[in-house]
Amino acid sequence: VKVTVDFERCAGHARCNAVAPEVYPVDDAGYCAITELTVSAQLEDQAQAGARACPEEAITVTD
Amino acid sequence: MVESVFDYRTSSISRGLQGEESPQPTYKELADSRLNRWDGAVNLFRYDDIVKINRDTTVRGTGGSGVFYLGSERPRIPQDIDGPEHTQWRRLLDPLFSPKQVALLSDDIVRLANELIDGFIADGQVELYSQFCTPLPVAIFLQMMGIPAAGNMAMFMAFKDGTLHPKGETAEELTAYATEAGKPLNAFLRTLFRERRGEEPKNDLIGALMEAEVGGELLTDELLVDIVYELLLAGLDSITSTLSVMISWLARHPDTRARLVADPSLWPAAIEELLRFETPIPAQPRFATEDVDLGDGVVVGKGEPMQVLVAAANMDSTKFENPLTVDIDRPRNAHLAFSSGIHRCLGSHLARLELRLALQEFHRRLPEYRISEGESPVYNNTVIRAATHLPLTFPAAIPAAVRP
Repeated sequence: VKVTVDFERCAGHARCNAVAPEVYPVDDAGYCAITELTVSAQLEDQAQAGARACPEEAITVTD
Repeated sequence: MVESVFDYRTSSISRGLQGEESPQPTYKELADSRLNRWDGAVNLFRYDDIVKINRDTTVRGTGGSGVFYLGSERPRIPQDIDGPEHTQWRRLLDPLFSPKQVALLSDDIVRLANELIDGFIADGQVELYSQFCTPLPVAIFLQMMGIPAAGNMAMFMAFKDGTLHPKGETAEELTAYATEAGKPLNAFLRTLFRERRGEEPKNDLIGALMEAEVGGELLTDELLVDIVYELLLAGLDSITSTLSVMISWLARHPDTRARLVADPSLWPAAIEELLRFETPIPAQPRFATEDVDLGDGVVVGKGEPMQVLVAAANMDSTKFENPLTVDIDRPRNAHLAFSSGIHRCLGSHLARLELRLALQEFHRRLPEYRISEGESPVYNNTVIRAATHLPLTFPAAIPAAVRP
């Protein structure tokens, strides 16, 4: 699955990293460190959980 | 600058809920109604509207009011600053409050929490707001900043109470009271920076700020005061208040508490849910510098002051199923307790860490407690929601320090 993070929207809540650290690393300021990533099907649930946790709705997960 | 008579501290909603133990049903009703125009401001209640407003680069934050409500002499940095200048300040401050950076305080938080518990665990009762909720976050924050607590505590307490909980009826009286309450801290900080310039650099937050460069230049003492004033305003009271309302809720809900005591790995989810339900900082002022179209015919006009009630957004049933139910297993909980957009709470990572460690240690040592017989918690919901009187009774135990 493909994960896309809208960096314009990311406000550094770091909720994605808190619920799914394997999918969403954060940088030294606490902002999501990825903009686009393809993850294995095994990590799909985690990727979705990270997207759901974001108050900015900055994360999109697509097949 | 927007001409405005609106003051969120004296707004009808704030006044109406001032001492309310359970403001959540009112916030839910407000979220059902989407918005109203009361007290000369647009009050916004829906999650999607608030996220949109907080994301809009033409909308200003607290700085749009042109009034220094909270006793600062100049705009507070970064709170009262918007646009690219705000981004520049956040670039400096975000790394100092990142999850990785605040994690370095973990051992100190656990140690201090246990020392405070040792101070009252043999008594079988405690007024928790003054004996635990207040001293723990204040001591940790001052340590992180590198400001000596000894000899200064009375000044810090008077500062936070006088600026955040000013006395008075009208907006003018409240602002005048807060301004007076801010003066000693402004003077203290000016002296502190002057003294520290003559000393060896120290490895604390103030030391980091004193060495930091913005736009290729070191910060003046005036800018340092404006940053640290805001950090203390935000840092000395908010975790205290949050701890108090969370423990007050848990004292009256032993079933949820028993689950958390049995399985401490549930704490992070429980804390998110209680942040949503209690929303300790219920509202933020915003100011439209251009028309903003929120859809379905709702337009906030250029020049209109707004109040975004994140406490209502967190009760928005289009986002949270059964919002009035505290459900620590909630599958989606992207609440707005720390607001959103560029003014997202800078200290959110410190707050989450400190809440988790403090609640975990408190419940490890004191799994059984209740509100003391014949007493009730006292709530104050203006600016920050807190249980400012929290009398608890529990089975007395031997302090850890004197155990054989």
